Amino acid sequence: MITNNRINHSLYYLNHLNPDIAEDSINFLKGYTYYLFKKPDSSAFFFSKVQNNHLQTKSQILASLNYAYANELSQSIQYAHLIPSDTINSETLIIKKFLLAGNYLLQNQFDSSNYYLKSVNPIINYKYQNVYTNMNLLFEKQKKFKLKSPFLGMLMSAFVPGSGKLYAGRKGEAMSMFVANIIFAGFTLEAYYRSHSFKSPTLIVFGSLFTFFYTGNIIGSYHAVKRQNLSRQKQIKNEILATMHSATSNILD
Amino acid sequence: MPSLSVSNIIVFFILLTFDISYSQQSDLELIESKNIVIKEFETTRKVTYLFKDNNWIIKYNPVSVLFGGLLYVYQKYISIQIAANCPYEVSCSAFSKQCIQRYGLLYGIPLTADRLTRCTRLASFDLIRGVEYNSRTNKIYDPPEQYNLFQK
Repeated sequence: MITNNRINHSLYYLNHLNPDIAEDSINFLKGYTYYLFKKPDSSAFFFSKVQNNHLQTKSQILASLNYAYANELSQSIQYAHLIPSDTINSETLIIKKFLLAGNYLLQNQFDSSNYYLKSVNPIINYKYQNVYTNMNLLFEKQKKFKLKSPFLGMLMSAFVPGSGKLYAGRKGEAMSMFVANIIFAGFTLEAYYRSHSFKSPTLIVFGSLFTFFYTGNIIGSYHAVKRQNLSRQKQIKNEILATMHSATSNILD
Repeated sequence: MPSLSVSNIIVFFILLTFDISYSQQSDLELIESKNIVIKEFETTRKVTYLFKDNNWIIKYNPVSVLFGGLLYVYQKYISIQIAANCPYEVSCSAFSKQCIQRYGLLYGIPLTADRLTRCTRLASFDLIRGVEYNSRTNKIYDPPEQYNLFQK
């Protein structure tokens, strides 16, 4: 049923099986079903319940991965440490190191991450060479990653409208904001030079519009920088998780 | 030859910058679908006055009446005529109403101005990277809640 993508049916039967017969197998299959369902928290919960069975190592690896996806990194590290480090099965050891390196990288603990990453020898198993290269690239990317300051964005926008958005890396929004501010500033100046009075209705209308757009430009830059920071953080996080996932994909075959 | 005044240049830029969407259907298709479109629009969209639930001082003071009235007229009569098709999940006018209701006029209006400059052809350069899409509606997810200054 799982291989035929009948996930709901699979869960139904698993829930109605007698748990005393093969509890570990049932928990493993439940964990695997939730994994296919993309529910990492439930999946990790059932994988972590598998004990004293030939499925245990596999379950610990998948529990660690799913806890990482569920953003419970301390739990993920705990289960990654439980994976046996026997030298006979080099593949398990490599996966363990990748999981730990990825988890520490997600926590910005660069020394620990580097320690596990350097201890991997990808020459032993050619399957993991791509994962090793990607993880190293992500390590460098995460290490160099610096959050942009929303307040600097605001300050820049106060001097040149739209420049804060340019600082956030949003060229189109910056151009749009600059043009809108220039238009309303132009209208306001023209209204003033025509009437030479602050009581002119045209000046009041366009002056107000310019004020709104100028203030909006400053506030918008603050939010644009914040959004861009969040988006880049999320992107790197997803890339790290995907690399960890590709390291573990071989054990599911 | 007409002189190049600031007004002419500015009007040219307005026409260049701001986008008024138009339907790509033929006239015949428009006539055929007219009844259905209006019926659906009227049943799904209820336009209300911005300060409907506030006390009478807020409800009827000139500033509220001006902003609330303009938004009401736009939503009720203008947006339906120009076939406005905002790429955002909460449309610009609804975003403006929600921002003003949530944060007040002083913070809500600049947020509206910012959103209007993001809803142009020029800003569409940035619509690919770093924005969240709603996969069901194919619109950009941009709710007013995320503009709270005190939210981490």
